[in-house]
Amino acid sequence: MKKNLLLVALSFSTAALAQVGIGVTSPVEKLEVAGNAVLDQSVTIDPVDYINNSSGFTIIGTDPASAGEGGKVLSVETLYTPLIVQPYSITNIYRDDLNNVNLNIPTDKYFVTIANFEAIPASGNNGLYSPLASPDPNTTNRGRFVIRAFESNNTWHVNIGYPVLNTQNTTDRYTYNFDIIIYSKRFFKNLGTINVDFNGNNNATAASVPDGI
Amino acid sequence: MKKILSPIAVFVITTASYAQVGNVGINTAKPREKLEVAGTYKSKKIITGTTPAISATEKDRYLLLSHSIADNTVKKINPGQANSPGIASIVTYSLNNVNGDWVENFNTKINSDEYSLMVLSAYFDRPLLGSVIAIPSYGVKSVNNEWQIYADYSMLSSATNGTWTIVCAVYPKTYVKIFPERGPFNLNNTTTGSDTAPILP
Repeated sequence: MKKNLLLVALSFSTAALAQVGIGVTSPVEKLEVAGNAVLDQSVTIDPVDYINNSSGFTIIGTDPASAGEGGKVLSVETLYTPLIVQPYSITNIYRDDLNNVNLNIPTDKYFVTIANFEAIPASGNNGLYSPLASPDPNTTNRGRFVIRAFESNNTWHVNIGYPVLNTQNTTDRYTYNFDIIIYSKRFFKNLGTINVDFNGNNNATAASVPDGI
Repeated sequence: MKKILSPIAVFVITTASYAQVGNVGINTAKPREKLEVAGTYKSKKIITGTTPAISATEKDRYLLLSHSIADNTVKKINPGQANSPGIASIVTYSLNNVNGDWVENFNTKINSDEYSLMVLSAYFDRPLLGSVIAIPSYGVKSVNNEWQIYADYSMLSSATNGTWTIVCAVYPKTYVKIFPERGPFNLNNTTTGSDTAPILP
């Protein structure tokens, strides 16, 4: 159906039933613009269609400082997504102690966590040293496993290992593979650290829901 | 009536055999693009031909858009603003002075009908003693519609009361769906298995 804007312009006081094309002579939708559109103040969409599968949509964003009008709408499909996964492989680690690797990811922009951890002992490395067959349960140290990302000098660092246990020999080496999950603070809100005193008990309740959710 | 339609644009469009050179403005006398609406805009749906991907210069500036179910407007998500939620929140719990190493339950009071709570990482701060090796276990469970955190090296304990540091992500359930638990998968005394009916094949 080929309609023109003049007819629509004349009928603004009534309802426009036909399609309107700007820069297009055969509009399919009610309003079709062959070119760019600037929509000021606010945009409203009737809540009709919902996404019903997990892979058939693209997330869109907007750049408030884009050239010209500002507020350019962008596709977030391929570059600089809100969640970024960066796999790492750290090789030739002294014994089991990855004490501090600086990822040089800025803490002001991002929050990071570690996922998909894999520890591979090098040839000759028999793993963490095992105590005697009949150890004293009150004194035998079974260590504790630490896997954490921490902030230092405005960048994210990684610490993985058993701080108080060790491999059998000083020549033992590990390879650690893991994924760093990078959460951009422009999309994820960091609520900070909440300290809770258990007073020597096994159970406790938060004073309230975290402020900010 | 505030609407201003550029006479030049209207003329050009009415004459379909000509290429359109002008812009159309609604409520503006100087439209900068093919169509500029100075005011609010409502439609059933918006279709765009090409939406450009984020570039390197835009990567630290862009914000996500959301559709409000309250008033159907499209709004920016900017957690940098006070009282503005992100698409998720990250919270770190430092659980201090725990009896040994065992956090049987810590009630976060976060509503499990409205939010999903996930432990992203957890670690304990002092040596664990005992006659066996233990696997650390930590996570969340929903009790009376509130998320509770548990953490423990079962069969081991520390000589003094310790601290668990637990980093969690809080996702609104408006876009994170939690499916019912699948299983149990009986491995029949072997070490491998397979989910023959995955929810997202």
